[in-house]
Order: sequence, then C-alpha cells, then structure tokens
Amino acid sequence: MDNKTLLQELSGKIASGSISRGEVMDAISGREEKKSMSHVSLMTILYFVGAVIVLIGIIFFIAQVWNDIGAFVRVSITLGLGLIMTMLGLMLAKEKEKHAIGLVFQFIGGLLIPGGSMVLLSEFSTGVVHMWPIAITIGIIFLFYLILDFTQKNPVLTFFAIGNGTAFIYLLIGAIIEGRPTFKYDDLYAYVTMIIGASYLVLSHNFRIGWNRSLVWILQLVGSIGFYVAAFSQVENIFAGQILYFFVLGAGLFLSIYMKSKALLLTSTIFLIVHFVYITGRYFADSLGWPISLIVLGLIIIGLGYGSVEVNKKYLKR
Amino acid sequence: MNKFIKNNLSLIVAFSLPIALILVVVVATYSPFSSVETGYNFIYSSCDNGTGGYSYGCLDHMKALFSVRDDKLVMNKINPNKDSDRDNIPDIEENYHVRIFLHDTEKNESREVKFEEAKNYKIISDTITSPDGVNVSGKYDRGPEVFPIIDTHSSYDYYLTKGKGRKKLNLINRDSRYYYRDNFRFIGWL
Repeated sequence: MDNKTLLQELSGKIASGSISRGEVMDAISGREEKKSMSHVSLMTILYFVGAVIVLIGIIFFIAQVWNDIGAFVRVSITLGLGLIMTMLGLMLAKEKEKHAIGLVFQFIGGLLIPGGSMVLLSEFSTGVVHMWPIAITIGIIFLFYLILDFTQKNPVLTFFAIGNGTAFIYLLIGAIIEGRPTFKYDDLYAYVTMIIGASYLVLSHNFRIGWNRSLVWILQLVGSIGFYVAAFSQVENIFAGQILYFFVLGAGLFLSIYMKSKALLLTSTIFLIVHFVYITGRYFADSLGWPISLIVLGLIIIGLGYGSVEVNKKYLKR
Repeated sequence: MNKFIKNNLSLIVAFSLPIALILVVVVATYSPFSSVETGYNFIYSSCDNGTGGYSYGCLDHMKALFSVRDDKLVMNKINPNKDSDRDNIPDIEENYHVRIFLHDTEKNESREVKFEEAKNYKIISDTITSPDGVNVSGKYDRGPEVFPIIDTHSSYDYYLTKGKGRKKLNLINRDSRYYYRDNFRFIGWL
C-alpha cells in the first residue's frame, strides 16, 4: 500500500467515523496509552458511580411521590427527564469532547427513556397488556438511538441502540405470534436468543475498529453466553444434539482465535467444562461411579484450562 | 454500492440475521399454508348458570342434554336426580342455561340458533374430526412472555387443526377467560 492510498483510506475512515481524529493524533504522537487510560478510567468510574447514585435517588424519589402525582407529572419525571438528560449529555459531549461527563448524562437518560415510555403507555392503556403497542414504542426508541448514534457516534448511544434493538426484536416476535400459537414459545425464544447472540458476535467483529471498540468485549461476552445457553436448552434432551453441542463449543473456541477474543475463549471454555460435567453426570456417573467420573472429569477440566491458557498466550496476547 | 457492502459486510450480516428470523416467523404465522380450511360448518353448545360466572357442572349437563341420533340433534330428558357438580342441587334446578351455536367455518363466526332450528340440521359426523380431516381442538396458550416484566394474558382457545396447521376459532363461550374449561361442547359437523 503506497502512502497516497494509506492517507485516502485514513481520510475515508475519519469521514465515516470509524476512527476519530483524536485517535489518529494519539497514535501519531505515541502518547502513553496506559497512563492516559488509567487517568480516564478513574474519572470515568467516578462519573459512572455518581450516575448510578443519581439514578437510585431518582428511582426512590419517583417511588415516594408516585401515588400523589398525576399522569402528566409521572410521564414528565420519567420519560421527560430521560429525554432532557440525553439531550444534555449530547450537548456536553460536544462541548467537552475529552470528558466522559456527556456520556454519563446520556447513560442516565438511556436508562430512563424506555421505562418512561412504558409509563406513558400504561397511563393511556385500558389495563390489558398487548404486545404491539409495547413493541412499537420500543421500536421507536430503537430508531431514535440509531439516528442519534449515526449522527453523534459514541459508544453509549450504540449501547442503548443495541439494547433497545434487542428488546424490539423479542417484543416484535411476541406481537406477531400473540394469539397464534403456531410455535412453542420457549423454543422460538431460544432460537431468537441464538440469532441475537450470533448478531452480537458479528457486530463485535465490526466494532473492533472505530468508536465502538469499548463495546466489543461486552458484545462477545453477552452474545456468546446467550447463544450457548439458548443452544443448550434446545439439545438438553436430545442425544445427537448433546454431541453436536460439543462441536458448537469447539467452533466457538476456533472463532475466539479468529476474532482474537478473550471473552469468547472464556465463555467457550466455561461452557465446555459445564457440558462435560453435565454429560458425565447424565451418562457416566451411574456406570463408572462418581469417584472415577470425578477423576476423569477433573483431568478433562485441567486439560481444558491448560489448553485455554495456551490458546490465550499463543494466539490472543498482543 | 459494492464498496459499501464490502466495508460494512459484518454490520449488514448482524442486522440481516434477526430480520431474516422475523420474516420466517411472519411467514410461518400468517402464511395461508399454516392456516386450515374445511368445507364443513359445525354446531356447538355453551352453557352458563345465570350468574355470569363459571359453573363446572355445565359440561356434564350439556353432555346429558344433547345427543346425535340418526344424524339429527336430539334433546334428552334430564334425570331429575342427576347432580353433576354434587352440590346437592339437582341439575334441573341449577338454572343452567344452554345455548346452541352454528359456526360458519368460512367466515369464522358463530350465531346462536334455537333448538327447533338446530334439530332439523343434518349432522354428518359427531366426531371432532370433520369428513375432510380437520379437527376442532382446544389449546391452552399462556401468551408470549418477554422478559420478566411483560407477560400477556393466557387463554384457552379452540382451533381448527390439521397436521401442523392451526386456525383460531372465534367462538361464543367463556372458556378463554377461565381456568376450568367446561363451557364448550362440540356437537357435530354439518
């Protein structure tokens, strides 16, 4: 790649928002990332601890006055406050680009908005819970965050876009099948969870470069746990499925190497161990006896642990 | 366009997976292939005890009251000592109010008919399976639950079923609202 192509590609990435000017400048100036990270982390932790305390305060305050206030005030102090916090967060993020203070306000807003919109719905509802209005409301919030994220490009907005998008998928499917029991709900939701888990992993691959890098590990962790738990629920009583599940977990291990993902390596190893324990308890404990089974199981776990550490050292450490 | 797809392939895949699943669910739920049609209508009865609430002796009373003989609906005399719900009040004094309905399967709607009209119908079959292989079957639907906070109401409804196909029947009875489901008695296909 010649210099011209390199610069063109870099300009393209800055323009598309997948990398910020600050990140390029940091890389060029060779700033000590660790030092800067620890500084930002402490500040960020304080900001977010403060945010959680504020949020708890808001929840207690709302609970105290809930029965004494009317519908308008209820909606105002939940949805209204959430929207104000988000807008304030967006303004602060623009003005104080280097500080996480804007993100903290967006975080508080993001937690209040879905709950607030449910309050709005319940104030107008007739008492019977139907899926469609809830699904549409969460769908609108998802779109709201998607548009905000597209224009503002920050990980908190992406986080809430993904969260609301996930809730929207579950709710939409619930609304589609409401009153039409074509599917077994548990099975269908297991498949939905597997699909969403897979989507999270693909998203995390997309996010490894750019402004959403901080979300990569959480997407991989939550996505893989969701996928493995849901997949296990579908193979629990099928012998062929239980064998297939080993291959799924093996594929997860390979994927963790390909994606250089410690989170995926961790979850794949843990689920592999759990599956070995499950299979041993179900098929071998009675025939071999628990003492022998435990010895074999212990050796398998040691082997898996060793293998996992070696994979981490060899392929994932950068 | 190609460049856009190439640059955002993983993003497109991440969004496509749930969209594809939703499409599959929509097709499977609303597809005419999953629906069930029959060329026959049927009659059924429902019952209440006049209080507007449920009475679990109703089904036994309906069973004793109606039967099909020589392809016709007949009303039987109730044994004056019969006490379906064992509450020491004979059924004939229970104030059970039984209604007969004709269900049009094409329009999926029911209308009440008097016994005098119903007794003239030719009942082809009094089994729950129609001559063209469609069943009338009840199913408890606990409703979709999404997360611990959203739980829609459960119901017990009746469906036309054939193989994996299922079509909800709009009946006039109260079974969908009560745990005990004795307020529907299928009589026969016309």
